[in-house]
Amino acid sequence: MKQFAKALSNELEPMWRFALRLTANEADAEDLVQQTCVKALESVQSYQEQGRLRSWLFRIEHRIWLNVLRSRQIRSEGSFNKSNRNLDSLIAQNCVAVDPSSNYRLFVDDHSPESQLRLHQIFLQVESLVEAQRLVVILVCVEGFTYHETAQILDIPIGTVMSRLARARFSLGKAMLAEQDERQTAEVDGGP
Amino acid sequence: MNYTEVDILNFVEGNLDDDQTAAFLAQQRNDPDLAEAVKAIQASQLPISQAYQQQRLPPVPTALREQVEHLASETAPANPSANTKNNNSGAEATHYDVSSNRVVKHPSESRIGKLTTIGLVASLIAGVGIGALAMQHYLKDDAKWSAGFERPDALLDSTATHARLVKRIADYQSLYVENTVAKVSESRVDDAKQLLDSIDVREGAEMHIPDFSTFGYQFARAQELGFEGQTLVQLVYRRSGSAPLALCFMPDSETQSLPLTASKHHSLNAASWVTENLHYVLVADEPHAVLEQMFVSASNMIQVAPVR
Repeated sequence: MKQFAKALSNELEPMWRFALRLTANEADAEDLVQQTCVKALESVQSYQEQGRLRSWLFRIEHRIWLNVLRSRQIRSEGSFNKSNRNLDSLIAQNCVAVDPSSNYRLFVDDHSPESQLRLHQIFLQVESLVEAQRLVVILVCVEGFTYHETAQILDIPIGTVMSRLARARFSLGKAMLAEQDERQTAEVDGGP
Repeated sequence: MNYTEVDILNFVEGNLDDDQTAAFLAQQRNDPDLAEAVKAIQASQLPISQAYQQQRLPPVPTALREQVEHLASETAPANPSANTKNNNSGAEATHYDVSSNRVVKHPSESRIGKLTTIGLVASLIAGVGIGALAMQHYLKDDAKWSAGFERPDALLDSTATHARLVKRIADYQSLYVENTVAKVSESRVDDAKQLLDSIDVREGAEMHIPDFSTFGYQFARAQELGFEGQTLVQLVYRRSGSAPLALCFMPDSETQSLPLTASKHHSLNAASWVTENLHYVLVADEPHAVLEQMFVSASNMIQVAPVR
């Protein structure tokens, strides 16, 4: 615990990365990381050292972000009744704000080698997933969290994590298979 | 048997035992939809991590990094034993010490500890009032917003401690944004009310916290932090569209009083003073002239509206 503040500083980069991927907006991401740091420093006694600090911080970050989304939703609806609000749809609606053309989402250009174009294609496929599935894929496949850690970060049962991941992978797989079919068809059509 | 997407994922990842795998394969042979789902999930074994590694993300903003690293770089040893008022045995709770960036343990149920905080808040009421009177006198002398006035040597240490405290509080407060306290729960406000009610019982006086509503700030919460082993109480106020305001106070038996001082930290301005062995630090994203008005306004706080 003595090194907590130092450890927090070391986790700034992952927190920033996750914040950008949650918010798709640098200003929101900055606010989110600031709030996460404050909350972490003020709640440090609840941190269990046997758990990974990063997953604990991501959990705080995600909770704060959900609260921000709820606040925005409430403000936009002009209502304080949130009892029947569906969180997934809430997240999905707010993620309309995600701009796939924003500069940090584009990482290839027309001259990129084919391997990079394929990676870009995979990236875009993941980004086009339903938000709840996209987050699970990012946490499990990109950040390397276990199902258990992901469940804790997102405050959902582990079965839900697996279910979302399975659906995400089903969607990704179908898209990839469709792309393969298109490519094969194009090769046949363009053949001698 | 109908298989769920989780069963399919477990099959693809090899998590089913032999019997389950055999049953799954048998079903797959007779169920085209299942076979298609398996094929899709198998096709989804993609270099997703590698794809995201290629993503060009903007770097961590320099200001944000500096704020957090500054907090992390402060390694002054915490001295829980210095917090002698909280040294009773019993269940331990903790608070964050802004000077050392450490968690300092103290007995959560300690009556002494509670009364210490209660006493601090009670003193806050009187202290700000007295401080405001001092301020008014200070203003009459046309010496407001002292930033470097001459002091006897005996006061230098106190002044240095006060300056460190102000800087730490401002550094910490600079991490606050509007949303930090936007969702403060009712229970926290209730906790503050309870704390203030306790003061009322103990002191036999109607207790209120400073009201800055005329400046658009609403009280959000009170919490106990720490500084160099000493209890530090932070009152946070929020206002839509701006960073939260903090009024902090801390006892210091070594320092009787210091005049009102202005300082700037990051984008925040601070007004601070010491009255009757209590340091006060008011930090906000406001011009010093507004802080001055807030300080004067606080002189009437005993009559202000109760916590809402």
